[in-house]
Amino acid sequence: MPIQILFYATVLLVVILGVILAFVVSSYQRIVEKHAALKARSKHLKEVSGEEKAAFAEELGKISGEEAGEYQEILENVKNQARATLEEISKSTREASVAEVKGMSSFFKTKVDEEYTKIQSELEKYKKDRLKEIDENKNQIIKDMSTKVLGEAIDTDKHQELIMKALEEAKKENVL
Amino acid sequence: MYFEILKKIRTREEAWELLGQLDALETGLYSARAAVKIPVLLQGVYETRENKKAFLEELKNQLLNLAVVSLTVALKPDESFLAKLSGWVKVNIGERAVLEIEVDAAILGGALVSYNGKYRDYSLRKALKAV
Repeated sequence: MPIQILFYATVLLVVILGVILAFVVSSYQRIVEKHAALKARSKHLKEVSGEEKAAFAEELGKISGEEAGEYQEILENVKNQARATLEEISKSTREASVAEVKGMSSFFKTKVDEEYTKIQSELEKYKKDRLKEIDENKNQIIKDMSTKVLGEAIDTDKHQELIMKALEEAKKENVL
Repeated sequence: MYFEILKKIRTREEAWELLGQLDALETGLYSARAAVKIPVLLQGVYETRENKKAFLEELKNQLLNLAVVSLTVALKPDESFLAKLSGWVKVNIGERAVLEIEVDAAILGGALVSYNGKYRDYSLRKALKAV
């Protein structure tokens, strides 16, 4: 009995081991196939990657070149724009400065002319006043002198009388 | 005719002014430009003259030969006194007599009279010096 059991047990074990072996072999076979497939794929991938890399590099170079060109162009545009803006600012500043200077110059000229006219009119007035004063003084001096010498002031009527008298005298003396 | 014009001239200054106007009028006779204004003293006389050039020449000649009485006085005479003085010389010397007046306050009053090469000092200054 025990030997039968042992036999059957051994057979069962062998069967189980055989199944396990078959499974292991099958699994190994699958793994080997998978490995081969992966290897092939990996190889393909490597090859493809090289080509794509070159294409990518080429594309990248192209894109870089285009973009660099674009950037260069943008940079150039920005530079030109900046230069134009600066020139515009400089021009408008210059024009504004010139206009300002002209304005100031005209303002000062007007001021100087005004002052000159004012001074001239003041001088004229002063001159007139002084001449009037001198005339008055002159008349006063004559009056004072005649007052001192004759004891009376000579007015206009007296002057005229003296002149007429002089003419009469001149006629009498045959001067006229 | 000339007499009427000359009797209205009171001073040598007025005579010279009229001479200038006569020159302009004479120049206008030979010019195609607008007519020169006729001096007030000639208005009513000049327009009727046939020989205008001869008239102007004669009047100029008479103006250059006026009798000039020079007077130096202390105060400048006003218009009315000037008219009085002029009237006096025209009555006492002649209608062709005109005045040449100079003002010099230093004589104080009276007048220095000069005519036809003769000169007299009738000034107050001289009278005072004599005192």
